[in-house]
Amino acid sequence: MRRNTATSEKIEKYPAISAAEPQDPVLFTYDGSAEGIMTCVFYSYAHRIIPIDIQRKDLVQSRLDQAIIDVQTQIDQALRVRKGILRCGGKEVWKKSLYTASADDPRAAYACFIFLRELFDHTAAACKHCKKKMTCTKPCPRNRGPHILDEWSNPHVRDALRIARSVTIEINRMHELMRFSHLASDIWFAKCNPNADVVPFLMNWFTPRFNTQKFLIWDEVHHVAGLSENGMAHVVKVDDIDALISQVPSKEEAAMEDAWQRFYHAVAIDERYHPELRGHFMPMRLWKNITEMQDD
Amino acid sequence: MDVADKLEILADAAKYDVACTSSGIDRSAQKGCLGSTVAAGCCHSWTPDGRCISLLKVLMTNVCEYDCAYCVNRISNDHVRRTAFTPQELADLTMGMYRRNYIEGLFLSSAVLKTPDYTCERMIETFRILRDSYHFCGYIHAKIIPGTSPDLIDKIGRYADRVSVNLEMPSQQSLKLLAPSKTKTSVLGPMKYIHQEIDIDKTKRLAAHNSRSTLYVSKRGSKSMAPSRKRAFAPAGQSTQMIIGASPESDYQILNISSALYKQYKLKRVFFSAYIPVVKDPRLPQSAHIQLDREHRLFQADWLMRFYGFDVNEIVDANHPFLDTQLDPKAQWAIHHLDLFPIEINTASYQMLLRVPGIGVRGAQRIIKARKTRRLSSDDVARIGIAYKRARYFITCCGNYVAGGIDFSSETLRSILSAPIDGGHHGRRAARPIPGQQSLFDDAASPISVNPVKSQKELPQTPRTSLTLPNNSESRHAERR
Repeated sequence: MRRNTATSEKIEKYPAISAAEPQDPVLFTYDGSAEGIMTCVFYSYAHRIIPIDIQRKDLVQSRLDQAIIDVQTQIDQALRVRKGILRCGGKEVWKKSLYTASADDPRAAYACFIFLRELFDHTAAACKHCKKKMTCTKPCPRNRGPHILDEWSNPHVRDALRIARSVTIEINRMHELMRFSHLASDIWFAKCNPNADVVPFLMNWFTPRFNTQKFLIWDEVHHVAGLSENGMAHVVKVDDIDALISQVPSKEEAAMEDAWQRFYHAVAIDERYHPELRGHFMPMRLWKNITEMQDD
Repeated sequence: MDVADKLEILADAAKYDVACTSSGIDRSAQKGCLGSTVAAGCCHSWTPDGRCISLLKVLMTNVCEYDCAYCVNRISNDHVRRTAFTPQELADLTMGMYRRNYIEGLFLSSAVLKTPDYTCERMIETFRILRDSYHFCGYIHAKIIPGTSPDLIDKIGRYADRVSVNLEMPSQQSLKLLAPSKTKTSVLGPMKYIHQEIDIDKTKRLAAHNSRSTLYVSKRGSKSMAPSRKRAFAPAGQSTQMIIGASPESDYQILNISSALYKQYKLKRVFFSAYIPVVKDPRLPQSAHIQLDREHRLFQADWLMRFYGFDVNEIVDANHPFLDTQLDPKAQWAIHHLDLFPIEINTASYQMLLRVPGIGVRGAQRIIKARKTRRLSSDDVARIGIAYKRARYFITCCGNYVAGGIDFSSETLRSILSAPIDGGHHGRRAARPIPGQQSLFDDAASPISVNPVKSQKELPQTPRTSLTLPNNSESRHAERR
């Protein structure tokens, strides 16, 4: 009886598109954030709509035969989706979903959406005849759960995992190629231009490693700043970094940068010269923020 | 001379040492300490030759008492500026670069200043400042000089994460000829000592850990049961390096030595360094040719031994003692063992999947996981993340041979799979002839005169019915199991 009441309430709260409305393919738009994608997943289940694509609001091009639904990001709904992912797939699936949702790739939002539908739909199918009726608190052995990550041959899974992998590579590149400079205000400052919104993930790496120094990482593409002090990290959206911090270098900074550049050129062996190989590991788009590449 | 000048000189002197990895140990960050390490290692830059810069690789000094023929720092080389870091200078430089995320730690080697022990004491002082005064938790790789006393090796091992002793030459005769100040004993002695110390340290720590886990409350805090505060001895293991091309040893000899070192001393890694002529000496090869391709194939063979379960005798043998530079060692093995192929991708064991050219460790793991949920078709395998273009000649998917129309013979497969190593378009290896490229100087009747290797399109195509499989692959695989 309770379940019936809850279901009827849910239908009132999230009505399905009525038959009177045109049955055009639906396209979701969102604000470009990972929370926005999670809200789209929630919206899809709540209103029983499966979109043909999900696009960022500022990049979408409307077509005559498409109905566009602008999904407003709701943090509480995104958190419910997160809870569902953790319950159905576990931490690793949540991590991959978040990586996919953080990519700048325009296909990322839809790939993440399809991946999560694949996860939830199969969980629902597996739980249909189970006595617990999806009330488990831990991943259930009856459904695929975390094993969905092994299904590289499944196109719905593979696309999301490929994008998640590209974000993992970008995070690793940032671990390697981030260059800090010491400011006169005794803050270590680094600027980066990644192709995914990775600053929150970078803070998990740099905060414990550099726990003895105050530092600030500025993502000039996504306008996100990560601050760390005494082992505590904060991530904020900032449009203008100059308003936040004065970038006057300390006295020893120029000497240290010069020493590093001289070291870099000294360790190269002319007989092995192979710039293509270097370009493979160190993409040219990142060179502008790499100290030793300023001469090249 | 300021520190930057010293750095330039001593980095230039250390650049011929190949090892620059920061791998082998996971150490999380601690409050109040700077740095951490990850077992996979972390590269922080790449030189114009494509080699990674992970550590601040420098010599303590390039003032040397030895006269090794191949070495740029030999005492008789008058064309080198000589200098030395003080321990404090080097520690400060390391901290400054680590804080800027330029490096993952310090790689410290040295020429022999006065005696090996005197040099090692200066190295130890640098490590002490870093670890004890600056609370540095980043990676330290220390190069042990042959002839160092065991007590100093012990001190170095307690500060460093990885230690290494260079084998330098693949045979005793070559070592005697080219590095007369070093002997087999002076090189292998420290290596053996390090191996024993690592083993003893691991055993002690394991015993202490096990006893701690079964302690009763009343016994906790007693002196005998208190956890050891001593640092682990070289927790990331030891490695070594050999110079390739300065002496006449074959790949067969070199790989056998590597294999023996892995088995006997549990080395983490054996590095190969193609000899680059930097000094003139009548004992050295007089050719300017640098064996970079050979070095590349040796690294591939070494990888096969460490991660793919290959034995050295499967890769090279005494009758064919050199690796083929046109074909990678795994493809070469597969072509010589065509009776084992093609294998069925849905039933083959993990070990057998690893032996298929084009399937690596990760690809094999993905196949094993993916086939638990469905039978893999050729389309599935192509998208699973392996080098399918190479692997398809050696596999069947659901009983179908996916590279139909190809003559399943060693000659054909060799011509398909052979490819020169990509040396880039700018460096020393860029002047290679490109297969199939026409030239004004070619004979019109035979446009592909520069390289005997024919591309797949030019090979005579045999009809699918002529596929010469030895017998049914699935049944043969079942027999093997």
